Amino acid sequence: MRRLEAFVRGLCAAVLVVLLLFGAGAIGAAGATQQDHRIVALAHDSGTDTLLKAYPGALFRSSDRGQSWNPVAIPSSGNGAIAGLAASPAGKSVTYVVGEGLGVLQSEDGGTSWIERNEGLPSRDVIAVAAHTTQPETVYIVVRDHGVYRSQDSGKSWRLMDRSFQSDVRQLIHSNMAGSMQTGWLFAATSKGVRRSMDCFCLWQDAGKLESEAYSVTYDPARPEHIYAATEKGVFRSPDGGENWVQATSPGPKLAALVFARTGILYAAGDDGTLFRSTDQGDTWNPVNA
Amino acid sequence: MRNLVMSVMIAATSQIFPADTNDGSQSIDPEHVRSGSAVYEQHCASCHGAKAEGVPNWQVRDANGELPAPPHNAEGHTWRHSDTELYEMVSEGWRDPFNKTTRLTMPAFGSVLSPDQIRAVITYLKTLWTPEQTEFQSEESKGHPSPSAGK
Repeated sequence: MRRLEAFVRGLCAAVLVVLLLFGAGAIGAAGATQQDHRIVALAHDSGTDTLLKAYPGALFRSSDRGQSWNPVAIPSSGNGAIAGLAASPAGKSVTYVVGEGLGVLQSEDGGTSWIERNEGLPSRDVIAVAAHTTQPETVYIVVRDHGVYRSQDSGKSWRLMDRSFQSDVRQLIHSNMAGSMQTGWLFAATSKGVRRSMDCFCLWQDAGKLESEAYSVTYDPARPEHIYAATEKGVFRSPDGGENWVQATSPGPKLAALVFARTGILYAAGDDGTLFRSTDQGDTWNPVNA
Repeated sequence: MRNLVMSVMIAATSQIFPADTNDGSQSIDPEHVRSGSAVYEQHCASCHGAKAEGVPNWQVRDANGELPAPPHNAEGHTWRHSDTELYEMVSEGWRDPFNKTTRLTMPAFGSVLSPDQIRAVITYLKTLWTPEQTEFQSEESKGHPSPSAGK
């Protein structure tokens, strides 16, 4: 009997050590810390109405539209930092996190578990990610100095689509705006404004004349031709797919990220970590969880 | 001389693209290329150029907001599209949504060309691409072929 108790105690201790080791490794990059207060990306999981926000070293999720946040552990990445975030509009609870040194991480359960999706990529310096609007297994990434890659099997394999695309992309999004030769459009926030291409990658062009560095771009899922951009000059919106822009009200700080949720709420994150919401397409803003 | 050039090109094509493949990828029939070349010359060359070189500065919109006719050779983007998409574009045309006029940017030829003529002209365009582009387009066309005869 004493031997059995000793065995059980030993087993419990071993399990505890394994759990601690696993936990430390799993939290790693996510770190559940907000030491770097810059929010680098926002995303909205329309399937679960979950809002996601990413800092360079941490990922959080909110199930109450930003009122409260819970840390999401992602696998350790050494010196990697999160640069982009995408929730698939077509695949429930499918989330992608990318970063320089981090590569591509994919979760199919809302962030409970993660899979690395880097096979076939030239490097792990991934600076942007966009989930296809209507095809759940299609995702696009930008690899620094290498171009845009597309996967049609949820990241298991990648194909180089456009090696000419510049590496100054801050954010990439896919939209189902009408008129594409293929299945939709890609919009990129870049140092020279917003750029636009059909998802055949036939031709990248400036989307209108913002003439301002763009930090983030998003669109209204209910009206895909309505595009929003956070720029160094504030928030701009376009009613015609980026051809013409008008300045919207800016909530205050320099904005680092925007996301238009399918709930009709436009969220904006300041580079100081503050979060705002607008229910009137950017005319007025209110702080979230102030 | 022109016929000689075409014959050489078709002969070369038959070397680059074997007629029979075992992996389901497309084969190139030299006679289909010859037929497609004739269709191109009659219906496409006036806009896209005799050598499929497109309009100079085709990436820049004109005063009507229209994109000029692009090249179909290796300098253009035709190779980025699957056979299904190419067939639809030739047959039904396409309008650039940022075009400031209501007309089609690419006219529809579905009432002008037969299905086989459309397939032939697409086959001809495939002879204008690099091997890398041809391989890419072949991959894009897997599961997305041109409508077959009789459909």
